[in-house]
Formats: sequence, C-alpha cells, structure tokens
Amino acid sequence: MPEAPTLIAEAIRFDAVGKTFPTRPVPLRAVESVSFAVRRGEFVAILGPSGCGKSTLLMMAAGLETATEGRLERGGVELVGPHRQTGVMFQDATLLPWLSVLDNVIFPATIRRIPRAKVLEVALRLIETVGLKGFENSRPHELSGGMRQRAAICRALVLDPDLILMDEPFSALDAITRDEMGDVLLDLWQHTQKSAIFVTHSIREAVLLADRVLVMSRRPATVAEELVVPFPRPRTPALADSAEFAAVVAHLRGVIARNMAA
Amino acid sequence: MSSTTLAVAPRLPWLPLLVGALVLLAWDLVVRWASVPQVLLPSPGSVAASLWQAAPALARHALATGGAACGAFLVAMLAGMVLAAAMMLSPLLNRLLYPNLLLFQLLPKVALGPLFVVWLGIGLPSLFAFAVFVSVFPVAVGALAGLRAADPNQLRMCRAAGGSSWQAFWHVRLPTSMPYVFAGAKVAATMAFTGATVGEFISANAGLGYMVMQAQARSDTPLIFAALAVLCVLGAALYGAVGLVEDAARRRWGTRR
Repeated sequence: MPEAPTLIAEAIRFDAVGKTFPTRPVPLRAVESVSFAVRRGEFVAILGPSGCGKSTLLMMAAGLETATEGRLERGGVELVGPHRQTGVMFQDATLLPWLSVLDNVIFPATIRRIPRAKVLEVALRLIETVGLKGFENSRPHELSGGMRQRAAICRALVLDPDLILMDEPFSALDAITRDEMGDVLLDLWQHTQKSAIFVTHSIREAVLLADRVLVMSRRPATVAEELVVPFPRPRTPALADSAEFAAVVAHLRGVIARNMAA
Repeated sequence: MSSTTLAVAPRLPWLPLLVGALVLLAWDLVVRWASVPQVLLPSPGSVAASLWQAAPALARHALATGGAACGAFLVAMLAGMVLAAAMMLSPLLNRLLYPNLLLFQLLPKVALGPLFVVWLGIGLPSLFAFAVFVSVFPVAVGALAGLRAADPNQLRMCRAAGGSSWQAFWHVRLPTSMPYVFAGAKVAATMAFTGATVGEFISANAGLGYMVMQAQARSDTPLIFAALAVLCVLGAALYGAVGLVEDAARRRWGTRR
C-alpha cells in the first residue's frame, strides 16, 4: 500500500543509484551503487576529495542529472526533475549580473510565476538575516564574494523549500570568509527544520554543520563510511575550538586517508 | 596637475576637430595655389556654397535616404534577432541556416544589388530590400553569438529553479546577448546607409545616392561633395542614436562586469 507523502519521514532517498557518463572511448563511471536517505530536518554532509563524483550525486538530487541505475525518491515519490520544494546552491553564487540583489533572491519565484508581493516579505527578511540589509538594490558586481554567496543562500531559501542542496558553496571563497559563511549557515539552521545535503571537501565544515557525515570513496563514488556527528544543537562556532571537535576531525581525516590508500 | 587638467577637460573632442580643421585648411590652400579645376576637387568654400544653394533639394533627398536607411535598419534588427532566436531555439534550423549565414557574411553583398533591381524593379521596394539584406547579417550573427555566450552555470541555476528552456532564453540568454546585439546594431547602422546609398545609385529616382549620380552626370563635383557631407551626418546620427540607446540600456540593466 503506498504511503501518503506526508507520512514519509525521509526528505530524499538514494536507492542503489549509479551514474555513467557516455564519454568516449571509455564511459566514465562517476557514481556507483549509492544508497542513503536524508531524514526530515537532518543535515547531511558528503565529504570526499575533489573529482570523486560527489557533485554528480548532488546534481542528481537536484534533478539536473538523471541516474543511469537505481532510483531516487523525493518525499516518497520518484524524482524525475527539478523539485519545487528543493533549494540549490552552487560552487559559484551564479547571481544574474543584470538583476539587483533583491531580484536575484526572488528569481525562483519569478521562474515559478509566483507573484512578487507574495515572496517580498520573506526575501527581505532573509536578506536581513544574512546581513545584506541595505544592499537590496545593489548589483552583484558591487558585492564581495562572500556577500554574493549570502545572496545565493537567500535565493535557495526564498520559496521555503524543505530540502537544500549545497555543492561546495564556499569553495571559491578565501579561508576567513569561508569560516564566516559556515557560521551564517550554522546560525540559519538553528531556526529551521529543513533537510540539507552539503557537499564539501572541508572536514571542519562537515563536522561543524552536519548531523551525519558520509565519506565518499574515490571515483566511482560510493559511500565508504558514515559518521554520526556527536554534538548536540544548537551549536556555536566556538565548538570548532574544542578538543572533542578536533578528535572527530582527526578521526575523519584517518578514514579519508585509509580510503585513498585502498 | 594632469589630473586637474583631466577633470576640467571639456567633453567636446577638441583635438580631432582641430585635425579636421587643419585638413580643410590644407585642402583649401592646395586647391587655391595649385589651381586644381573645380571638377576634380572643389574647394571647401565652393562645397559649402553648393550645400547652401542646394539646401532644399538636399533636405528632400536626405529625407528619402534617411527614411529608407532607418526603416531598413529597424527591419534588419527585428529580422536579425528573430533569425538568431530561431537558430538558438531550434538546433535543426541552426544546422540548416548558420553555415549559409556565414557564407553570406563573407560575400561582397553590395555586388548583388543589380539582382534586386531584376527582381523588384527600379524604385523604393528594391532599394529597401537591398538595404535590409546587407544589414541583417551583422545583427543575426552578433545576436546569435550573444545568445550562445550565456554562462552555463547561470543556465543550470535557472533549470534547477524549474525554468523551461524558453524561460532560460528569456531570463538568461537574452540579457547576456545585449552587448553583442548592440555591437551588431552599430555595424548594421552603417550597413543600412551603405545599402540605401548603393541602392539609390542603381535603382532610384530620389535620395542622396541618386543625387550623387545626377551631379556626376552634370560634372557638378561640389554638389557630389555636398551630398556626401549630408550622408556622413545622417550616418553618424543613426550610429549615435544606437549609442544613446545602448547607454540608456546599460544604465538600466548595466553591469560592466
């Protein structure tokens, strides 16, 4: 008997998902038999070296790539394309340079043909929360890299999605800005019940932000190890300075090293 | 010191104007001292006199040429952009048309003028069609290059938000193409006047090109120069108008990445 979507406790589920790109002469196997689920309200970090196929995994979750094997379920229903209740953040802010910050934040509503007035209040509140108040009418080129990613966070959240997908969203930023953005995200997540998949190659980011960390193998990517982060919420940036935090980071580093050697 | 000079520098391009004035002066002196015959090279003074005497006729013919060129420019802009959009949205159309478009771009299109007379007869229809024909290619090629220059990441972002390929076209590709379209428009503006004038050489009973041919037949070289001067002003005016629209668009949507 099919369950009603509201009773489904999982935001998204990967079921033996694989992806092979038809490259020539040899097809590229990017992802192999990945199975995991993200519970409602859970923040999952996917940790792996660059080029291991973890971005491909996320693009499938976003409905931008199709799985060549297995099946993806979004809220109990098979995922076939971009989902209205999914927000996506990319490696670059990908703001449209001819739109103001506010119009960029509202862009998903424009695409979904939702009246501007309906989302304006939410958009302005988000802009204020991430510290961009006063820049609503600025153009992207007038902002710093960190400010642009803040605007991209607002854009991903503006339609109040229940799942946020983030593909190394801070990888193009300098180290200081990067830590700052982690704090912004941590702060945002204190107040939401949203699920998230956060792809990163920063162990620190993964441990600070996530409830659960999936360590990926080298290509073809598959889940090599899973770690439940033992720190309760709400968390503060100070957590990263504790000895317990350092121990978890060290453990994960060991796991990754073993994986790379294997 | 130099920065203050820059700050108070007037907006008029004094140096080029000075060069122009010097050339006119040299021209005048050469004609005077070498006593060049009027038919070969009239003095600037006699060109000015011709401009003054023929002013009503020049204005009438200028209106004909200006109207034809501006009309042809607008039609070429519209047709070029529609052509580019169609090629962008339909891969089949693109494969059918684009190589031919490039081939036409390489042809000396002006040489095809007489064909238009064969097909459409002497008069406004053939010269108008000819002016559109020569100016449509830079618009189409420029607009297509602009539509294709869209950032793949921005397109992916649009798709992730649930955007259709039509929405990606409207919200991402079209704004990206604007600088390219304006570059094409500037070339088309000059080509429209070239087309209209050449069209008038071979197929008209009005316009500055027609006037030049008439003056040549009468060996009225000062009038040829006068008509050319008016033509220069008209061409510069359309080019300047395109520039103004571009500035306005840049202020409204401008980014200067």
